[in-house]
Amino acid sequence: MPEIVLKNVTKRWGNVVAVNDFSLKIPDGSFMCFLGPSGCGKTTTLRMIAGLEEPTAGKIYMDDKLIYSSEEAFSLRPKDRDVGLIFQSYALWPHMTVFKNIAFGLEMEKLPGQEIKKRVQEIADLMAIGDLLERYPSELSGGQQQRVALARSLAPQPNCLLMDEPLSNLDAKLRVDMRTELKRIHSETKQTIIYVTHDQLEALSLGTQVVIMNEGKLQQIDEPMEMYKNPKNLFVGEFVGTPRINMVRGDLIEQEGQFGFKSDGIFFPLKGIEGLRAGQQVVMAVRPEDVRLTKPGKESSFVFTIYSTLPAGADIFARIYKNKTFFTVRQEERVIHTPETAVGIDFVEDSLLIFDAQTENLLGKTSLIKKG
Amino acid sequence: MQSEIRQEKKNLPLKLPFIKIWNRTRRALRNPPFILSILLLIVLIYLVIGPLASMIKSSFTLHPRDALFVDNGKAGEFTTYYFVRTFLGNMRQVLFYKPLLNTLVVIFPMSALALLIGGALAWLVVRTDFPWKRFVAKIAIIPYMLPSWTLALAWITLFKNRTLGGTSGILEYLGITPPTWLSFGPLPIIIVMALHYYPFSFLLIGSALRDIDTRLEESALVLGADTKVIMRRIVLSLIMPAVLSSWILTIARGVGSFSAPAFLGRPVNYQLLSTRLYSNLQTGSPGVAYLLAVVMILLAVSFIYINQKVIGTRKGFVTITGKAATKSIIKLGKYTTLVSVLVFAFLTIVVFIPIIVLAIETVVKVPGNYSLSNFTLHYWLGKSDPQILTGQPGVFRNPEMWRALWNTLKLGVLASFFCAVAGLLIGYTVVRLRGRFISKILDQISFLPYLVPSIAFGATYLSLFAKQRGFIPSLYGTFTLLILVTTVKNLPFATRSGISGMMQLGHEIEEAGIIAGASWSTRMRRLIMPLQSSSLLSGILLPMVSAMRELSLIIILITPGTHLLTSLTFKYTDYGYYSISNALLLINIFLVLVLTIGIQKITGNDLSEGLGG
Repeated sequence: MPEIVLKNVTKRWGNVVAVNDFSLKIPDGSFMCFLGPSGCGKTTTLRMIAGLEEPTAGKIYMDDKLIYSSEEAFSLRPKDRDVGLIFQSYALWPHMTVFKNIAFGLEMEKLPGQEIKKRVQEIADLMAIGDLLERYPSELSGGQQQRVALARSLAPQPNCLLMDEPLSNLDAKLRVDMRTELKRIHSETKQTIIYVTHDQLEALSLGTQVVIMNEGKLQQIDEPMEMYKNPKNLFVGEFVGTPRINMVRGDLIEQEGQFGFKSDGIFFPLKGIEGLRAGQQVVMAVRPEDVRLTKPGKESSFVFTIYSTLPAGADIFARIYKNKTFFTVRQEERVIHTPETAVGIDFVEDSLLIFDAQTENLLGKTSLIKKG
Repeated sequence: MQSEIRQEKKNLPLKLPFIKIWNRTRRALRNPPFILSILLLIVLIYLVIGPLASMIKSSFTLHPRDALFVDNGKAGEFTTYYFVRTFLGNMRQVLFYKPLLNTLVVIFPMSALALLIGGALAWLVVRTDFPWKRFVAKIAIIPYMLPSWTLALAWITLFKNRTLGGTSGILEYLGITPPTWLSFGPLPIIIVMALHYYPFSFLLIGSALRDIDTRLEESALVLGADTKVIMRRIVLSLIMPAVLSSWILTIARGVGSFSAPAFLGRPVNYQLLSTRLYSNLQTGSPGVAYLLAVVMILLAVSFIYINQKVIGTRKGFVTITGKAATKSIIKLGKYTTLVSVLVFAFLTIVVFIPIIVLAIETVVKVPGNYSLSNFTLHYWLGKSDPQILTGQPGVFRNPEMWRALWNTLKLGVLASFFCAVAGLLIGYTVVRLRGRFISKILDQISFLPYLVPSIAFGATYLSLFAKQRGFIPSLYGTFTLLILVTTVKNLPFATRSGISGMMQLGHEIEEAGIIAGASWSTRMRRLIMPLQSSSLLSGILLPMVSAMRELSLIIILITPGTHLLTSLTFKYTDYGYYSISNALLLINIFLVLVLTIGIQKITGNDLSEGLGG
């Protein structure tokens, strides 16, 4: 099972830079999710690994073997890269039965007919489509087509499985089922999987590693929970997590001898940490679950007002405001406040992320200093 | 409360069926699409099924003229006389079997050749880096816009040899005597028809190639297939339905094609079903002619039926909208020059040389003499001179030409307009009543003319409208009949585009109007028509082009008072006045091209839409 390395890979179409100086090491056996908004270059990167697209510059290795190099104008053909690929549209061949679709890759390996039959049946059974082999793709449901696409790419036992938003065309319930299935297949086969998605929830729940891209550039590569807790920059912080992280633009200042963050006339006294100093323009960000509602006056000096409350079953989210500053809060108490109720707020220890307003990079994590 | 309900239930069973019927009728009568569909159905049954039925009936009804030949025969009675005469009698070889065999001998190689040319050009334009693709895509469909006998006349002008007497062609003048099999008969018919019909394959295969989802090819690439395997097992298989349908379409059209066989076959008595049908009408045996028309229809329908069986619906394309992927394009590399030369040579031979050859023929005083001293503009501008072609004036001085030109224009504009409106209305009702029986019936009846070979379709109209029936007068000899037959024959295309236009529009647009309280006529006038106007306009182009260059369809319905440019050309060719017929043909071509280009400029749509773009 391979380890895939991309070195300074760039892809340009005329003046448009799709992927920009991208370097990445994909460890053997990992489930690597490429996450980013549409047009960020994640699909292009995947297609370059598959050999369907040639990078403008850079090198790609698979298990220390060079598979692409722009300098040497060397490009290993897709079939010699030993990868499987699943498209969002599945790209099943409409003129072939399910059996023929799955058997195609095995035929290309020139396996004997008996062997092909056996392998197709095995993989079809594994995918629970064993009784659909004589059907044509147009006679299958979306979920079944998805399974056939998966079976087709798994049948030749590729070293590495590449998936391009494979679940986007499924309805919500099937999507959750297939995620479970994919995770199980990964733990069984221990294959390296590269998985492209724009759905951050999917990336967090599937990946052993998540890569976030934006405008052709690598933003962060990390384990899913790390990514969530310690976003390297504002883009990552904003892109990962629902509801969106709370962001307030303002200045770090010193007021009456107290270091803190001031915005919209509200002063948040902060614990000073390395990297932060008065006079910086920053963005303070905090996850909704790290904001706590308290009783106004007694426990908190901040008086906010309930704007609206959004119960979501397991969680209750409240939108609160003071002047023009809004926060989304995941409530601890299962109380539905009426609008215009006054509340106090507090933040969980070490949960305030301070980003540089210009570079948008993370400067540090800090806490609120409580009164008294 | 409870008891009241129960009581009502007790009372209902008696009245219920009546109430139901009453309410249903009332609702149906308030449902404009439904009323419209009934009206359309009646009209279509009369104009599509009616002529067919009338023709079949006529072929089993004794004609007054033939009553003498049949024992105890009375005009107007049921007879098997024509059936026996055509299929079983002494004349069967001449009347039926020989023409049938000749037809088959011509259409199979013809369609194969057309497929080969069209397919190769489509491949070149869509899947290679051929540098002139846009230009070629536009030029390559011109042969279809030209009257189908353009090439036939050009062929005669070039290859006519001395054996037939009369004037000879250019090659004879240059001292080469072409063999008769090259001048007339099956070989020239096959070539000329193939060169006229290949644009079908070009357009159909071209758009099939263009619409293949590249991911289908990439999947195979990743699974280890090389280019050859991908082409054979993926691409070719995927375009197979388009290949087969264009092949069948060409065959079905070929069966009903009259002009090329008439020009190139009849002089050596090489008869196809279409020319046999025509001469039987000329010699006054409509019964036999109608039976031949029935055979032609059965032939075309069976080919189309087989095609549908072979392709089936199981392997239907699952169209999934995805990101537009760049097509994998085959690089011609060092072959670019060679291919360019071949393609341009082909287009020159097919498009430009025929027109030039025809033009030369019109400015030559004594036919067959191509020296400069023999140059004349007489056939264009000259006054009547008894010495030349028994006093025929130049075409521009010929009132017959001006009348025909005006008729052609009128027919093209009116027929295509009616066609587009009918297509829109049928499309509207078919889509609105989707799932109901009447929608299916309308859809299928409006498609029926597609299956009927042109000349046979003309024959059905002749049989229905030859005499007064009920309140509908005999339309034979009127211009109205020409408009009618052209409109109905072109209906399948118009209906298809009407249906797809309405499908794209969706229900919501009109439903929003219903909720807002707009009446049906307001909804049609203010919502549907304006939104469909662009597709209405673009739907006019195809019927107009085909109306103005059509001969096979109308040849047996033409009377001296209703000549079109096409039929006039045929008349003068029959007289052997090639100079005049060539001039008429050039005027016809000019008219079609100018109108086509004009409409394409206005509507912004293009027959070669997107190919090579």
